[in-house]
Amino acid sequence: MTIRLAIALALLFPSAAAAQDAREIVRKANDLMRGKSTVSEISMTIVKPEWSRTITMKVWALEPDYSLVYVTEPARDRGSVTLRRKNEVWNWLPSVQRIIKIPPSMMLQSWMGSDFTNDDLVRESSIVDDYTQTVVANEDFEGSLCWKIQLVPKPDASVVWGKLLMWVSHDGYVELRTDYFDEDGTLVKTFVGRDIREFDGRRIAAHWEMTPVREQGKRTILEYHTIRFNTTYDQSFFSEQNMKRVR
Amino acid sequence: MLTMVAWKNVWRSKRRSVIMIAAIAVGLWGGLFAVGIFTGMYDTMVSSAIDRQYGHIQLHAKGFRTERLIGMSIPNPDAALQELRAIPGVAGVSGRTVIDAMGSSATSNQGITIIGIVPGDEMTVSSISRRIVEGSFFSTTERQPILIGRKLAEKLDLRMRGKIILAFQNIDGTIVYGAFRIAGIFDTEANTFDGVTVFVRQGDLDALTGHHLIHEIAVRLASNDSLMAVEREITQGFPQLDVQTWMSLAPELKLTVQSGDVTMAIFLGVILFALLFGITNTMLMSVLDRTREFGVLMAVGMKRRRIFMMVVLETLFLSLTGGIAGSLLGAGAVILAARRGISLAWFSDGLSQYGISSMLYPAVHASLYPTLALMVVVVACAAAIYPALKAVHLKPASAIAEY
Amino acid sequence: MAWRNLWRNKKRTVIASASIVFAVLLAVAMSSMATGGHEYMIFSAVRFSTGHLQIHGRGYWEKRSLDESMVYDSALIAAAAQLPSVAEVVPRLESVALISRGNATRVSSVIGIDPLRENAMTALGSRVVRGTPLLHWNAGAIIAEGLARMLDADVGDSIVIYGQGYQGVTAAGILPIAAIVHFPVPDMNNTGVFLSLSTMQSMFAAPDRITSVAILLHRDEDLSAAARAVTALAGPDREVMTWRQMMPELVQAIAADDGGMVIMLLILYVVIGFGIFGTVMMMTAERRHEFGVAIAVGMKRSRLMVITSLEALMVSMLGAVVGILAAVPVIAYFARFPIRLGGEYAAAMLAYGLEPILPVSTDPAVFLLQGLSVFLLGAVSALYPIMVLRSLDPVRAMRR
Repeated sequence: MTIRLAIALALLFPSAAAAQDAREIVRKANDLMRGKSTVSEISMTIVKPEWSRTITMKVWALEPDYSLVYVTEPARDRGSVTLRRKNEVWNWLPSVQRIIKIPPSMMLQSWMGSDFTNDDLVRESSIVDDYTQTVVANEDFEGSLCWKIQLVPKPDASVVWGKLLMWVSHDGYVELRTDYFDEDGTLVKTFVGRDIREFDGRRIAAHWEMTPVREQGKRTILEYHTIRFNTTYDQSFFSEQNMKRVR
Repeated sequence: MLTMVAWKNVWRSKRRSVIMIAAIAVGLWGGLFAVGIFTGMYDTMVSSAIDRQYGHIQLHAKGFRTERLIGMSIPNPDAALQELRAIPGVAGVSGRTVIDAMGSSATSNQGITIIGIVPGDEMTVSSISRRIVEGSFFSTTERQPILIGRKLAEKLDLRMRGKIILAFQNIDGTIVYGAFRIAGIFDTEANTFDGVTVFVRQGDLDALTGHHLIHEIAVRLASNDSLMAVEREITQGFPQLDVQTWMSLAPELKLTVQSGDVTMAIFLGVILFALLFGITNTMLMSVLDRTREFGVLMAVGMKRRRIFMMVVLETLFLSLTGGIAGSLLGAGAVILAARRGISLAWFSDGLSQYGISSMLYPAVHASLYPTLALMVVVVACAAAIYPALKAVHLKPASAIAEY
Repeated sequence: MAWRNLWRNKKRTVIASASIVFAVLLAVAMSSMATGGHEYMIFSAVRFSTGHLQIHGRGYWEKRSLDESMVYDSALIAAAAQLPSVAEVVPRLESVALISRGNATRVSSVIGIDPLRENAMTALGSRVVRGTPLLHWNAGAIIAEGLARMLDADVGDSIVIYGQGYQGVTAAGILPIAAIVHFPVPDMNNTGVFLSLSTMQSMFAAPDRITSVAILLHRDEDLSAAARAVTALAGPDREVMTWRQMMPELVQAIAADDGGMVIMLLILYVVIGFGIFGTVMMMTAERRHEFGVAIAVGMKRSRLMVITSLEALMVSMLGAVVGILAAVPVIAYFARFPIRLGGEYAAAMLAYGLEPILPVSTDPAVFLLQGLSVFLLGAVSALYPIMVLRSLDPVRAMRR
């Protein structure tokens, strides 16, 4: 009797059930990349019509306020470090042997000159809390069956988008693709995740691509080489002295 | 006695005298009208800038103008506003929250300056409410409305009701984000202003920061004439604040006004020179025509000096009559034109896009009239010298014979 | 016969043409000052900023990034410098960076300059208030006074420059402050770091590259012709812009001034015209007797009108020509030795780096145009005696 009631209720309120699932799906996808503390090795390639540049770096992150980025390639930039402690950002420039404090306004722009913004990579929980999520379909994307989820910003949310469409794989809750739309419904940029591999016990896309739709020949590629989750670094690691010492 | 003779002489040749008086009158009319136009033009230029953002006087916390840190706010702002409103000559006072921030849309971002205002107060100080080309000046039901310049709207690819995210660093260092919707788009003459300035309601900004911060108080006066007096009073009343007039906030403006003064002085000089030549010319003709008469006068014993004076007096009478007529005409023309306004659209297509500022309201400072009167007298005397000399250097006998 | 008439009454002729001569002198003076002032205003505004023209890499003006820079082409610069209308050619490499000293960091423009050429156009050397004079500068950075103050830095202190160079490469460097410059406009005084072109090119990974070539002309009048010539030299890969396109706000400001000048010139014409007309009226009145006699002894009225008109025209022409000839040395003198302004206004101008003088234009067009205008005024006045002659009653005229 209760089972029949449950099924009946589920049939009566399918969207409610699906909405609950949608939020959970997005949360799970978001949490894949989250950990109290992580250490990763990443290569970022910025592609422009006339040139492209690849930076390889080691990133220590302690959620939510601390991160340290150490550049290993190219040789010209090797040893430069970006440290973020809460709301302050410093850069260590080995070529001039100086630490300089970066005005916070720099943080509000694109992340390290790429097509990813601070919002995309750093601003916590935004994707889960600032949007209303609904599953609109089950679709295949590049060989994986995905939930196609529509995310609509809540009225007070401080996000620039009008709407997001996200493809999350059934198998493993990996965010495989996200389309970003402005309020007129025009597609502005697209994120694609590929090359799912295992990193420290988690299956994540190793290859990330962000492509702005309206500008020809521009995109940013992130290649994750290693990721370790829940490491032992604490706040004291993220210090100005450490900027010069870290390797 | 000589005076009466001179006066009568003037009217003996009615035609000549009338012509000359008319010429002088026209000269003065022209000079006054030109001065009126130029004064009006520079007044408009200055008021446009004052209206748009400066106000007549601004107060800031010391150091704010260079550092522009959110923490450098004016202490006890509401008391300050009240005190300023009570000063005689003050027409409007507006307390503004000024925060440098990042404005983002889906397409792009731009460094901007947020100005949090109380709309009713701001209307008494600046003309921004009259520069709205789309939407309204905060009469909207939008939850967090924002006014942005047309240039900025284009850069961020936003339209009415579009969403813009403002991000800035709060006093405690945290980054604050706020979503605002465009309720109005404005267009002033200054692209640099339009490209970076946005207006929001002060209450909405206070809610975001958690504090009531006023960084700038703009004061508008009933008339620019009381500028220095009120500035002094404010400086004395608020010694801990940085008090500036528009002249130091926008020194280029002051320079422009002064160059205008120089131009006007030169123009008047040219007009007076024209009058000088004209008067000399006419008086010379008058003297030459009366060679016989002067010859006779000198033959019967009139001293040369007196003849000289007579000619000078005639010149003076003519000039003063013309001068008075011209001043009245000029003043009348300026007042008439000021009432109707002159449209500068004739002279420049560029200006005509800019609505109000292309209208010109001529004005003349009252102090100009006595100065001008004095100049006319000086010019008349100078003009009289050559003809008068000519008159007295005629040989009586040959003068009589010339007839 | 008209000519002989003129010289019969020398005094009258001289007086009549004198009024034309003076009218021409005044019209030329005012027009020359107006034109000169207009040129000077444009010159002063463009020399401290964009110059009359600029050559950029295609797309630079809109995007303003080093990625749209162009190669330093010395042949192009030499060719541009040789154009007769060109006064100065100034290459620059411009970008934006963080300037830091201790815990203070500010965003500022960073400009790589060729000091001699830069100084020839903008007189940057005269803005140096502390430190090495510009012409002795060979190392370190020159920084705007306001920026120095915000960084709590002075001559000799080191500043870190950090930003993005060409094609995304990181630009970082540390340099001592060689000199501090002061700009009168606060906005300009609070930002600005100047490096030598080569220093900046190596720091920003842009070897042999520049973002703009600014061109200063001798006269703004040559603007369109010069723009065409420079565009032809620059080729399709580069864009050429005039100050009108780069600074539309200045165009508005100048248009207002021009409008005012036109009004003033018109008013002057009215005043002069009245003066000339008055003179003509008086002389006609005096000649009534003479006219009456002529008609009475049988001269055809129409012939008399023709003669009188010819006299008037000749006087106008004579006056105009003499006026122009007299104006030339006067204007030439003031072009060479301009009137110096004084007082508060002059001090303010000097602070901006402007010379407090009254500029005049020696453009021949000014002389010819004003001479022609006054001649026309005189010619129009000639209609009056004709009208008088038409209705002249010889008997009454002779009775006077």
